[in-house]
Amino acid sequence: MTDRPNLEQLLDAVRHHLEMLVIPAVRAEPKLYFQTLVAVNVLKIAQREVIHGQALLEAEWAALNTLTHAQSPHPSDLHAAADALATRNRELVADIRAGKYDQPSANTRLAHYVEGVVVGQLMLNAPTLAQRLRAEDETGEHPA
Amino acid sequence: MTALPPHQLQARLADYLSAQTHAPVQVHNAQPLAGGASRDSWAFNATFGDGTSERFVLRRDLPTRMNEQALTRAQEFALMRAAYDHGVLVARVRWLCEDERVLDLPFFIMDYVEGVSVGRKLMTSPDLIAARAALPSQMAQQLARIHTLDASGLVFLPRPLKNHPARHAVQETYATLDSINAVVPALEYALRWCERYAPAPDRLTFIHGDFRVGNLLVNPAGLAAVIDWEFSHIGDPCEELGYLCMRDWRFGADKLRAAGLSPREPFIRAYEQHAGVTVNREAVTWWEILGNIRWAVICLVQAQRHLSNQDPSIELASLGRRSIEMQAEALRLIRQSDLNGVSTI
Repeated sequence: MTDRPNLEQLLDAVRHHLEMLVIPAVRAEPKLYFQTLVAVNVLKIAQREVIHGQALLEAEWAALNTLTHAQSPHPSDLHAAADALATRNRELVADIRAGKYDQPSANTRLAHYVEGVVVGQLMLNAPTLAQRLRAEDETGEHPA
Repeated sequence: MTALPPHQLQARLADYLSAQTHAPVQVHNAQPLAGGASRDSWAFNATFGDGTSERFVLRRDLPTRMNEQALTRAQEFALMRAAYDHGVLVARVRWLCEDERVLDLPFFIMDYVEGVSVGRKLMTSPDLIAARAALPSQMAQQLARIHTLDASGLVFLPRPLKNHPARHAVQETYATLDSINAVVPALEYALRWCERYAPAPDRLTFIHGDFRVGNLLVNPAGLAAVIDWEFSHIGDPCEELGYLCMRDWRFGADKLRAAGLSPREPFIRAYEQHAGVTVNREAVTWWEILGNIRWAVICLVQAQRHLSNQDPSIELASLGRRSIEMQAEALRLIRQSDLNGVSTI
């Protein structure tokens, strides 16, 4: 196993390089400057996914089991789990479109499920927005 | 050839304008305009045979179409002229050229209007404090005017199937999701909700289709011109009111639902006064929710352009990960909506 640096540290080295050396050098070229800022943000997302991705996948799997009254064991391999989850989501989507979650109690359970998945993904992909939304919920001060 | 260097662009434009005005025209000071990923825009100066000089904007097609539903340059030219004649704040269009020999792709030329169209700059610039205060009323007034534009001559404008824009928009969004093979339960939950509570329109009008602060030219006095008309169509005016309320168009001023500039209710009231109509608030909320869903789906479509190698780009790739922001917002708005429990199907 090559772990010096590990995957997270490798990504961090690239991010550091972009932030410290590339961004100052391309500041005069608006398009390239903007694209490099985007690239840094993408790396930050990748870093968070390296750390939290597996736990989020397992939580989504477990929540899907609860929603569909299934007891399907989570595949041990990360790629197999992602593939299996995609297959299960395809079934879920077909059921949603067919109206199988239209009844109030089923609809509430579905809302609970998708909100849980989205909150997890939001923390990974847009943590600043996730924080702002949480603050709105805590204070009850929603946009007017 | 797709990217024209400024000196070539100037030379070819000078030839074109000379032919159009039957007198020698000099073109100089051509500068690319920022923004607008789907069009190539330039500002330039032209000095005419009589010695007068004017500044113009050139709007040219790009070789790849970002959105199949976007209008052509000729159509955009026609409806901008109609909007100008109707008294809408819009740049006056001057010349349309569909002959691809001139600049490789169709283009039109319009008067230059001084102003800022970058949402975040508009929200933060100290020079625009007075403009920000004036904008909500000006936007409401412009929208009311836009929605009374007589579109009977603009036969190319997309119309909703069965005169039901909400249901039409839902079906289109399903089709877009399927076209990229996207399987996203949160979007399906939200879209099914929209399908069940789709509001019938009180009236059908001409709609700008992309009315948000990023598509307004603003100067210190306020609104100077409404730009980017390529998504105009016939629809429910509530669509336009809901769309500008989307959180992503508030550019950080989250608390003020109407474009980050005003609370929603006084904005709707101002619109009602100018338009002389009563607005269905629930329909406006419905369209805000659908707007978020559509933007979430478009993010996935843009990412697909990168993934399919059609247009490899870090920006398009990163947009795919932004979809979740609009998904989250759609779910929040549904949770807060008063419509739950009164399904229309």
